[in-house]
Amino acid sequence: MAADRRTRRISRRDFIRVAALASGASVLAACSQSAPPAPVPTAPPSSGTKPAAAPTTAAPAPAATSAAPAPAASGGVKGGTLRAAIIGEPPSLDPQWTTATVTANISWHYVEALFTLDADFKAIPMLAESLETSSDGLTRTVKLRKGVLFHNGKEMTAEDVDASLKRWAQISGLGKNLFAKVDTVSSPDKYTMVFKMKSPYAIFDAVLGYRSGGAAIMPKEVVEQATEKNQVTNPIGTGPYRFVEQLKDRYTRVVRWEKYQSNGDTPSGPGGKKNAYFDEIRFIPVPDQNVRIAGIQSGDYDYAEGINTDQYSLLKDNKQVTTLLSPPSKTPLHYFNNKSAIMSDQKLRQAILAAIDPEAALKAAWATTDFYRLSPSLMLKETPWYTEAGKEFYNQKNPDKARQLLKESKYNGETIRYMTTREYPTMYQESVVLNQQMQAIGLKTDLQVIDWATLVSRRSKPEEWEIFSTWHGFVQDPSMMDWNNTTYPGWWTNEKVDALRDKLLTTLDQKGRLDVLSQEQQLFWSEDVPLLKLGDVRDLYLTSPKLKDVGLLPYTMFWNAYLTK
Amino acid sequence: MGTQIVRRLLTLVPVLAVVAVVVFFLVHVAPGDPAAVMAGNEASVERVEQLRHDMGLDRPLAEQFVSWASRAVRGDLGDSYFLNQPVAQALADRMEPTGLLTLYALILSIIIGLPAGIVAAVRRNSWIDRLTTVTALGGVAIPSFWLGILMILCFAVWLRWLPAAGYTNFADDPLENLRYLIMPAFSLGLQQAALLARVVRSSMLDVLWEDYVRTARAKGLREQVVLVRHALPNVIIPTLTVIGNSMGSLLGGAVVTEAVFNTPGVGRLVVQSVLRRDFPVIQGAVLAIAAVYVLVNLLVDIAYVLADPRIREGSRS
Repeated sequence: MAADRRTRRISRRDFIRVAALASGASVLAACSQSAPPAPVPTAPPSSGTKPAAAPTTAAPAPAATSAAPAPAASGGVKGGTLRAAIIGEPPSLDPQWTTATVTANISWHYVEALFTLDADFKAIPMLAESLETSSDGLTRTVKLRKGVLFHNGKEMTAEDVDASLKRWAQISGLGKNLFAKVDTVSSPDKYTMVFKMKSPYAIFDAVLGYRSGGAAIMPKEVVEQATEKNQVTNPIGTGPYRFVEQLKDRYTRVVRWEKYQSNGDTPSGPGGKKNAYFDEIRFIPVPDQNVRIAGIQSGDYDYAEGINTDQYSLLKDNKQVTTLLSPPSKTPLHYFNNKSAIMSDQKLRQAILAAIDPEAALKAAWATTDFYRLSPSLMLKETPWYTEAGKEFYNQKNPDKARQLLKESKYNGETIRYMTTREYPTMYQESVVLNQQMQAIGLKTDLQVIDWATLVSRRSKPEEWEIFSTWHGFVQDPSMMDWNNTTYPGWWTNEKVDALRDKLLTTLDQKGRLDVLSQEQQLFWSEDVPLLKLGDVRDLYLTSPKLKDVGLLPYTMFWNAYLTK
Repeated sequence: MGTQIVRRLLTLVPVLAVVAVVVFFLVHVAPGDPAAVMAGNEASVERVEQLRHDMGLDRPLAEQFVSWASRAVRGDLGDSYFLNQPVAQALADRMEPTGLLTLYALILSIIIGLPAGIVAAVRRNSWIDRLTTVTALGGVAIPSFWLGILMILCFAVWLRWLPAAGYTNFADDPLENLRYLIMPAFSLGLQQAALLARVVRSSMLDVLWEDYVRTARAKGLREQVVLVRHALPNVIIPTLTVIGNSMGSLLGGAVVTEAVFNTPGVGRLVVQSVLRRDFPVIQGAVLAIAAVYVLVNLLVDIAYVLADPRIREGSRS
């Protein structure tokens, strides 16, 4: 027993000794690591006070001093690893398979489509060399670029494009709609594809260049192996970066594709020349906003997205970070359920439109006019689709008129279930204000604050709600907007609007289409009021002061961006 | 002893069965559609329906349960919807960060809590005692996430000594691993250290008034010997209880701490899986955590027996 005790006593002492040594060592370890360089003092970020002007078209600042690494061909600095803190793990690495934004933001660095957008948001060729359309609009001939290599070294040809598009048409709603209008597809040679259409389809190239759940071109064997049932887990594309590995919930790693060939000599929006300046990009899922902010300040990340705008005033003068405001790119929307017994009453919807003050809701959510603007246009001012049709019905702020319309409606004190979420704080803040404004004219509302997954699931069941909040990101063409999709929750459909939709889709010239859109927008504001459009908003991003030329519109683009040393 | 361990291990079966049933139905009854999350915001209704079908979510709930439970019994927890990998692998990948974080936090709490409690008891009513008591009170009261945020601000943002968030595998770089986990472990372990200090102090004070301590002193033993050989062994039982309970709190606290420090552990996986409606992962993780909890309790009980001859003798008779 005595021996036993002795052993215990000694081991306890040993334990304490070891523990003391370990704790000392850990402190030493913490202190001895070379601290990252002190924050680089820079002038207050210019982008903090004014919108980032078309970042991809701006000429990058040249690296001037001799101590700085040699500038790359078009002014950026080649090298380094970009650590991008993104809002979460992508549900898939396969851009065809999901429409999730987080997947699109990552995957369009390693895949490309036949078409993309230029700086004016017009569809331009990407992997295509040209698009010829017959005068009746029924034959679309796509010439492919020659010598474009996939990351596996194989040249892209018509058979890869054909296989990719076939799979995409099985998965994507947009793809299904397009191919419903396609009669036959043929490839007279390996660089040409001919689409015979059943009817003219105005958004042919826009759809093929759309990014969310987009028509990414991958090698034939890759898509045929995955089929439409399975995700592509090891994506191979033609983009400026090449997918290397993904550690789930840790990072997705892409590296520069040395054999990348740009389509053009100058960058233009997401199209044109693409310079891959980084050796490597790590997309790190960081779901907590505070961690993303702290990580930029501590030098652990170079880029952070999804920053609440109320952080702007705290961060804009902070020398450790650069604040970036995207150009207006998002539209906050509150959809009415046009199938519900209560909300199918047009007068009631008009009453709500008359009652609300969109600016009050926007201000509550987006803080300052740095981040929001009022606009009656359903499409962004920056696109070729801006129209002010029906603007007299937008931003009325007229409770008296609202009460009158309410009297004329069949509304009889029923509870209006209004779904929103705190997961996207701005949606919640807008909803709180709109809810108050509705109650002020005598509506009985029930603001239901639920998580986003629940909201998404419930909104597809028309019997469960009357209003839900959301926002839509950048979409380049009105025919592709969700409010023009009759199966999207809200279900805005009637003879008049459906006829306009058809016309919008089959009219090929821009001027004619804008005219049709104006008629639809007039109907939207003056009669149907299928949803509330509040205005346009910007997003806030943080970067390290060393990161330059990040493209933000229509989405995050790291090609042409670079790190200064 | 052996029989007792086997008996305790057998209690795992009903515990896990109840947990499995409850978690399965809770998860499936809660609103939210994994297919909609997977397909993304712009997916068509048709696409979401197709995915629901492919994932087997359109089958009756009872059928889904039977299929899941029959696989789980054979040790197959199914595949994650969101991560596109087996649940067991998803859990295994995240065991290291959580395990090490809990371990470091436990070690820290013992290193800090045990000596602090002993010193406070031995120097009762001195300034050291008061300082320890006040600090321990503060330690218990401070939420770990708040402490974590404060530490990030101080050591990562201002001083830039430690990384604000992230993780490196122990095998890849042990020192770097420690750098990533030292702050989370401190923020998680400090509360337990405070708790431990308080319990050790009060237990020690009780013991110091015992007859055998007085006898030992009367024999002329040095105070150090009295403390280490006679008093301390008797403090071990309540200390073990606190440490055992700590394990549960630490595992629970790891959920919050991992979120604050973006540590890719089981806790963060559970939270993210709830948001993603990744049913198989939630089910698998809750089962695994329940099993770990039961096993830790068993280990604590075994440690009691080893530490206390009275229990050992009692179990023999």
